[in-house]
Amino acid sequence: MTDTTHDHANRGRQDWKYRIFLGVLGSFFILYILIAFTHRAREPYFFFSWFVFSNVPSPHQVEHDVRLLSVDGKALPAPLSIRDARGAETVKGVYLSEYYRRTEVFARENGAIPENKRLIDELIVAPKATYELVEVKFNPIDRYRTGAIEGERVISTFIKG
Amino acid sequence: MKKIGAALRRWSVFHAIDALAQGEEAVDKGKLIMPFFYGFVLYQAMNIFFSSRLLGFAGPVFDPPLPLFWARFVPFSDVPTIIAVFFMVSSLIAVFLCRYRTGRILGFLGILQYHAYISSFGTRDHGWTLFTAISFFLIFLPSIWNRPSTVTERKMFLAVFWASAASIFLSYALAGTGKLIGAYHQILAGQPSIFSLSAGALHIADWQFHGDGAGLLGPIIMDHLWLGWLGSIAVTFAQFFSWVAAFFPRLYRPWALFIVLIHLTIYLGMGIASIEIMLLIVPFLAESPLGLRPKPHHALAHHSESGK
Repeated sequence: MTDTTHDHANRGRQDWKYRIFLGVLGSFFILYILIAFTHRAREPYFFFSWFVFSNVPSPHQVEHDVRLLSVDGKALPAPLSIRDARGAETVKGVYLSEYYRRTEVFARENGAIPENKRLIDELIVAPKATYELVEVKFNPIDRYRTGAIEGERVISTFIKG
Repeated sequence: MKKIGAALRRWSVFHAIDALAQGEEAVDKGKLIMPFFYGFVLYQAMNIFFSSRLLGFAGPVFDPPLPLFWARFVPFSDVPTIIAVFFMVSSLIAVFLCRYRTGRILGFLGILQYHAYISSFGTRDHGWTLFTAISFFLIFLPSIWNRPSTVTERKMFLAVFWASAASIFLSYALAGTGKLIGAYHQILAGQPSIFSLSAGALHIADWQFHGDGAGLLGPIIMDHLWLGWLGSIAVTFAQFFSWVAAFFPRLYRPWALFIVLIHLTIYLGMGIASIEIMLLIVPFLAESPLGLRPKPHHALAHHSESGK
């Protein structure tokens, strides 16, 4: 199966097809790179910017947690973080990223926006529950090593049902 | 400088395609890779179908991207079943008919539907993005299975394999570039950056709280910060120089090893296992048809044909 084309003029024409083909492929990559650099926050499907782990996390972090205090009128022995209770009887199983997204949206305006509160209510399986919104300050390395945090503060308590 | 320029041209992917297209060996190797690629896709599709895994793959938000436009018109409970069946049938057809464009188009559509579905719940799936891109490129392979091929057709065939390899390199190159851009901004802001001693440890610790993962070496890296620093610097630069590697097929095989080591490092540090990507790295980088050395008579034929 060797090359059957011996005519140089014909070969020249065919090579143009190859060059156009390369041009189309090259254009696709240029478009991909442009989209990757300009739409980092929300890329159009199926483009993905691949800018993963681009920033080193801060050593001084502030985040929020939601802790269950009672379920169906029964007080829990200790506040239970719904982060740790995901997938158990009381809290729906969601990805950790989804839990963080909901918690941080809920924490806006200190939990005062009813639509945002619904994001948390949806996660709690029981029709009635009491929970608190807590702000936690920590250094991730210290927390990883010893579990130590720099401090926490209860922002407010909420009732579902 | 002239010598360096000539060497770079000689080792470039465009020269490799020109030289390898003079013979059949590289194209034959590419043809062998095709059923391997679709075979893995079929394995995944059957795995999903038999385990009913797609049925459980649902989040609180269903926001399908454009390729799943039809999902808005059928009951949600039917969508995963339709996708699982289509994915399996299309990849089965693609394995056996990958020499025909119709088979490859079906293979692409099956992967596209599956990838679009698992990207419909608020978080975009990354694992199958490259499978989608490569199956798209493979559609454009010239149909030269059952007849003699011309040099130009063989060049186009090999160019498709280059595009497939380049899409893998691009994903890593963008990841490395993003890290360097991030470092630039963080240094200007006076924050810890990828060059800081605690960079690797901060990534690992943060991922444990926010990413649901922990690596075997995490505790050791917390006590020896320089280990994490070394890992993050090595990963960043191996990723960044993928921009260069994409254009030099002689680097494909060592770069394939780098990429496997990158994933091993990330797994040991953060517990993130990227297993599917290995099935692209082996055929399209480590065993790329472009990595073959052109036979001397092919190179000579090429030079005489192009009048050099």
